[in-house]
Amino acid sequence: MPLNRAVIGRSTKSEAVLMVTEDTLRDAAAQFEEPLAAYRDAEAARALGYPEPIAPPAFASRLWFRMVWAWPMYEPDLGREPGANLLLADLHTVSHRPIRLGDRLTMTSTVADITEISRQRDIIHIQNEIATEDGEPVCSTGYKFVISHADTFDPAAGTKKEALA
Amino acid sequence: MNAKVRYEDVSVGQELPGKEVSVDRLALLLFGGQTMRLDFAATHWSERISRSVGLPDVIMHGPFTLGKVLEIVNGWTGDPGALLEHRIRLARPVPVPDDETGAVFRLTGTVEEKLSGNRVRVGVSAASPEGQVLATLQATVQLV
Repeated sequence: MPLNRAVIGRSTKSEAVLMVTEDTLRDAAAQFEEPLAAYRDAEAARALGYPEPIAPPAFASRLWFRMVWAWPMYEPDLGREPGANLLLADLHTVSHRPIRLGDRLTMTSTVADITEISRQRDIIHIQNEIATEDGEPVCSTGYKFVISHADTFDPAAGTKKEALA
Repeated sequence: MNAKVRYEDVSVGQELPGKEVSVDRLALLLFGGQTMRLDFAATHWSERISRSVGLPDVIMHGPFTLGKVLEIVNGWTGDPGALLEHRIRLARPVPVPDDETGAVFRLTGTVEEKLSGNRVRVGVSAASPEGQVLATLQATVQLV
């Protein structure tokens, strides 16, 4: 079943502010396994011209999962069946400045578009604006996911329905 | 921003120092993010569910692939904050086998265009050791 195009244009905003703490940055640098001093050390960050340690640039692209809980993937209105497979195909980030220690971040997510590419597959484009609590724009992330519909899958058994028929 | 690369020293077609990076199963698991609860989609930790949806194994998180691919750019400029814009196209899911190496990315990059304001556009390709393209990236970087 294709996705419901009526959700195009809908938006949501993160309920809670995300605080970027020393722990946040330490975890992010460890998870990406990129040992650059500017992610941990204030002096190294200042040498590059930043007032505080900064987050790895790809960190911004993780926040959609954490801040809006992958909205609207679990909205009944979207029409995505529970077993439908989701693959990230394209990710576009525009940075106004690095995310840094002490930031208090908010996210606004919008369904920018849904394109049917076949009877079985849609592409959904979700655009996220990340700003500080005070409204300073920090960066934006745009995701394009390919969603393969569950019609041909039995989500419970994880087995192709045709194989069971 | 304070990249260690000077705009005037860079020419179109110049190659970035190549890099090989790998991600093993433990790194993949940790990337889910216990404290941040970032992404525990089943295809990132369950072989059973991955296979049931037609994947060969558990796969990389897209943002994790992005982070590994950006290392070649950050290594070149020395300043991760010099990235003004980047776009990655993920050509195919990247399986992370449960062996001693995991997923391997061979990264190559080229300066594609010199822009105004001491900015350059670079193109990066990430390939498997067998030469299959896993992802391509274009980035705009602020040099000095």
